[in-house]
Amino acid sequence: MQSARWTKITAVLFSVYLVGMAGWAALRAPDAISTSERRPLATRPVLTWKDFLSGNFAEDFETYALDQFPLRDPLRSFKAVTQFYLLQRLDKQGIYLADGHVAKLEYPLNSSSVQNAAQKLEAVLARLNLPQDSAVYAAVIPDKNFFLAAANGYPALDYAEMQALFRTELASAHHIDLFDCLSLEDYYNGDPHWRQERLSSVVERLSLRMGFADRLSTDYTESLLGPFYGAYHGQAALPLPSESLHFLTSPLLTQATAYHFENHSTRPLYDLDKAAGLDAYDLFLSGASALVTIENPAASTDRELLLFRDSFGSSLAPLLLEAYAKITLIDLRYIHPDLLVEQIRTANADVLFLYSSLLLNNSLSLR
Amino acid sequence: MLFSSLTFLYWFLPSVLILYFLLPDRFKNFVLLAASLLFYAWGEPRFIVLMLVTILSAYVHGRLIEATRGRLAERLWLLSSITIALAPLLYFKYANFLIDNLSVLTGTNLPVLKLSLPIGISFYTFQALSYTVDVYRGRIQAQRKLHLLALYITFFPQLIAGPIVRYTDIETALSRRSHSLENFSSGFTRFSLGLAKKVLLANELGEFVQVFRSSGQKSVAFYWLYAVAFSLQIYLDFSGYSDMAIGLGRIFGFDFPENFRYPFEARSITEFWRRWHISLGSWFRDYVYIPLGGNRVSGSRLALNLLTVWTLTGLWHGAEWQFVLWGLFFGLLLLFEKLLPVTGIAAPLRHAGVLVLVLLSFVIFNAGSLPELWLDVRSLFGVTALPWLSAETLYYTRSYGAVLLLGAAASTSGPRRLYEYLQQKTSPIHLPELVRVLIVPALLLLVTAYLLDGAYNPFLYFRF
Repeated sequence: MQSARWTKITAVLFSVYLVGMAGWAALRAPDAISTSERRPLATRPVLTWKDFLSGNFAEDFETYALDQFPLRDPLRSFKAVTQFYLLQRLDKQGIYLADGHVAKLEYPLNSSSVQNAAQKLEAVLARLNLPQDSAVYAAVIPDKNFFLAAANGYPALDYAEMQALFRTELASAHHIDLFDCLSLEDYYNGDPHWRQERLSSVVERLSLRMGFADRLSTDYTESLLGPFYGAYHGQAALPLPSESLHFLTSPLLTQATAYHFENHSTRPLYDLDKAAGLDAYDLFLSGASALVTIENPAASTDRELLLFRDSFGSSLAPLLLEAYAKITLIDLRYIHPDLLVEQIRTANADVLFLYSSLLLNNSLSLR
Repeated sequence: MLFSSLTFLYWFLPSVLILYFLLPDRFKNFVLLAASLLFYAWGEPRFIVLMLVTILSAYVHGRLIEATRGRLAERLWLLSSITIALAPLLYFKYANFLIDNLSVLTGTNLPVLKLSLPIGISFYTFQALSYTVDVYRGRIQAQRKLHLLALYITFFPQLIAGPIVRYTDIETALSRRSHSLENFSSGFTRFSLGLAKKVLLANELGEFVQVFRSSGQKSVAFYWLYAVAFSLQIYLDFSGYSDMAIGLGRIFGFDFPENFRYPFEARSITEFWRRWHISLGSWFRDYVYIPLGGNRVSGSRLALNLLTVWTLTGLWHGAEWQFVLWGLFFGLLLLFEKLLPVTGIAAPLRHAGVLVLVLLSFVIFNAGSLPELWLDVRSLFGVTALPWLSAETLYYTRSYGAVLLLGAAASTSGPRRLYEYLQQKTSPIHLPELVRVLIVPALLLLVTAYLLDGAYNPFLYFRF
């Protein structure tokens, strides 16, 4: 039997905790967005009889209660620290820490997804009706797990099998191996993406295989923005240091602009406004966009490049611009191939399919 | 509404507590009744009508049974009350099961009904049934006040996941109960510990179970770990809900019966069922098994009675053949123990045997279908092409090792005995109380953190 004093102390403390937290949750001004989770937060739903009867109000209210709870970010960190350090969990919803990096498990190999991607790309090629002199290339960008997972005891997909499968299924393309051009240091610590300033080996490999090495000569100046919190950084919810986002500039890249077909807007190649948004990696070509062209006014060639890509391509494309008169970047997650035929020219064009292993393993979004 | 939701924890519960304790005694039951109806209506308002019909039927039948005491009509009213109480349960829970099996038997393709199971229907139906049967048996007097009977059936702490409270358990408290700081403090502690069991351990083990189910690299060892993880998950989830219910009841001055007493410490299957979901086991004993004749019948009749009760117990958990098999599995084990008592076997061996059988039972329980059940059981015993161990098994064992160990420790009486030991040894400085004062709010914060971060938070009782 506990003493009367302790009974009072615990009863008062529990009441203060419960009513205090409830009052705080009810009265605090709501936040519009969560920068760490890169998403808008739910607002308090309006109670209507119809929504109440359908159960929608209850569902929306719980989402609101979760999103707008006080100390949301510190509490997420509290959970992450408990899971990683107290309970020794090796990953938290797939997110894991290794060699100073945050990564997300990508496992196992989804062969049907790789086949699906390759078949869709073959179908695109058939629709484009390319001229005889067009050269078609394909390259897979390894995700960070290639360098981290197996080496640190995490489940890893079979990258060799993925590449072999992709090569077999996308037989119309000349395949370029980029795996040995990259290392873990070429990726951001808290983000899935590669670092633009460390892509010289990739550019060199592509230029040699695609035959544009003689059209590259520029030296770049490195600039940086910060602090940069990558996508995995927010998902990990751990108190990890921020990074700087690096980008390479040159007179050509400063002058060049990107034309976005979706909203018929012309933006700089490095979009500083976008970099200040939820995902700073949107600095490169303003982030996700279905169809973008960048032109080189000082081009020494009339060759063009059709770059079928995911977000990794946004940071690479500026580095290839010097070698082409125009680069058209196509993201098949956001545009149907039928619409492409009307929008793009294929004369004098090289084609490069450049996709990360993450996308190939999860290719349902490709149209 | 779920206890393991922020809406309940930081909006509903504080509001109800404030209203309840600020208003005079004569309003307290109305506060609880209104809160309980809102609690039930929160997610599925349309089914509240069904519950109100059940309450009204129990009320009217209770009065009618009492008014016709000793006459034939008394029996007819009892029959009518049972029929009306069971009809919605049979329709919503078992209609499609019947249709599916008829389709198989007749080789036709009968269309299934678009039905969703009203939350808690199995629990509140059994409470309503026990009320009218107890009135019929003369154990209790019919309740004159409709709102008190409604409160007994709808009282939110035990409404959707039990324990199945008998009217006799709370009859006095419904009209006259006391409140104290000690009840508040110990009730809140019990609620918080139950919530922590559910969110911090059961949900994490549930993630492990999901990982296992989606794994492409299963092994025999992985199957056994899955059996352990699911058994711990369902225990911690269910007993966590019971702890929350008992704690909340205590805060409001009600004394609910215990529903679990460390069942994994049992040394026989009979003992296991005296420790697992006690309120359901005793309900079936008092309202089905004993009316069928109980133990005082011939051997063959005893076997029939036992298997009937355990088939019904299985079906109560879900309208699927695997639940029927699960019930029969226990029925046969209990029959075996009655015929061949296991007392001669060394206690550690008996304990180990019970654990293996219980793990096997929960593999049967959690199978999605009969073919999956067959595959699971064969895989568990290595009668498939699976390897004994795989890289994934090792990875997830390492990743969830601490949670599995904590879950196992939390399902024994060890933590409670340690607490009591420290209470005795450190009585001058009240170490356990000090720890409790610090740990309970910390656990609640951690639970909140787990809920905030979009973790796996299933409600296992939808199918019950």
